[in-house]
Amino acid sequence: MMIPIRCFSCGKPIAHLYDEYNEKVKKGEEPKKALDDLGLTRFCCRAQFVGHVDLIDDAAKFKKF
Amino acid sequence: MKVETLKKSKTMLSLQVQGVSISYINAIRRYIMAEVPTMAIEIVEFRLNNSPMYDEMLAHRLGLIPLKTDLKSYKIPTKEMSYENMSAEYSLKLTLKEQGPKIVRASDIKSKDPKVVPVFPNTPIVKLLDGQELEFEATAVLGVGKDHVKWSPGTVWYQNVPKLKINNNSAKFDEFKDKYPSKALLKGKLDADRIIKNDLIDACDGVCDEILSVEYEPDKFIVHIEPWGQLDPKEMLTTALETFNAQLKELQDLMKA
Repeated sequence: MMIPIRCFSCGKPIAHLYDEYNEKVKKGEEPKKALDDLGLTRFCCRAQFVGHVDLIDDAAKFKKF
Repeated sequence: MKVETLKKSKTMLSLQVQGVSISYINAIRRYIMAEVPTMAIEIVEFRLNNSPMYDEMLAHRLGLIPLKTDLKSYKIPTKEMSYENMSAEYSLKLTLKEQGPKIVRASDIKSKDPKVVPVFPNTPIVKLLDGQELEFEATAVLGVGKDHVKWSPGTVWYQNVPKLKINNNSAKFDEFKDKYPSKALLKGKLDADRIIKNDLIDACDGVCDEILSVEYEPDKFIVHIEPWGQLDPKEMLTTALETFNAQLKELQDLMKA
């Protein structure tokens, strides 16, 4: 739904980096370089970003109850 | 024991420790990750939530937000204590009241203690659309990593210091040259510094023992301490050692009795 607060595997807080990552990728930067610059060295944390699909906007269209 | 600081920054502390056994280093690692207390949200009481996320999902996200921890002014509550009427010594109340449209972030949480606030104020919690509201009161308590990882202050890992024996003049070098990662080579020759810097030790080991063999020094370690932000690495290490000592003391006293 939204980016997880922490990496599933190692527990590093990552959610606060997501906006910056998106901005960098939108500007045309390589995801590899963006992740390196954000200090995400382990592949577990990197996978959270690369594999994430933000579905909150779609999910919000439907009534919860 | 000899300790040398290799790298010191806000996000990482690397130490080289010499003259101790592997079990000693591992005990320290486990004590830091499982026994050093930090603050985290434990109870959330929702007054209003018509955001796209369920209460449980939000409570889970809130719990995982790292909070700056002041170990001196809080105590770990015992298992018998109830979260209602818990004194300020043991718990901290945090509140939030927001209206959409906006992205609710960790910085919107109002803490009663200015010293205990979210480490990363930019952390998104949920997105509220027009007309949606979120209001809750949360209780943060001190806890330890063995109960839940949200209370873990960081991660710690260690490795033995590698010793590389390289023979670039070996007769087999031309045959095996292409089997090594290109990053391990400098001007067509294997380079020890490059191999260690690029973390290619395991990739290079075992390709051809005549060209490169790896030995590990059994009593020399590189220990990496990576904090999640609640405490600084020095505080993590000292608190872990204090806890370890206190528990050893307790064992000693019990054996005397």
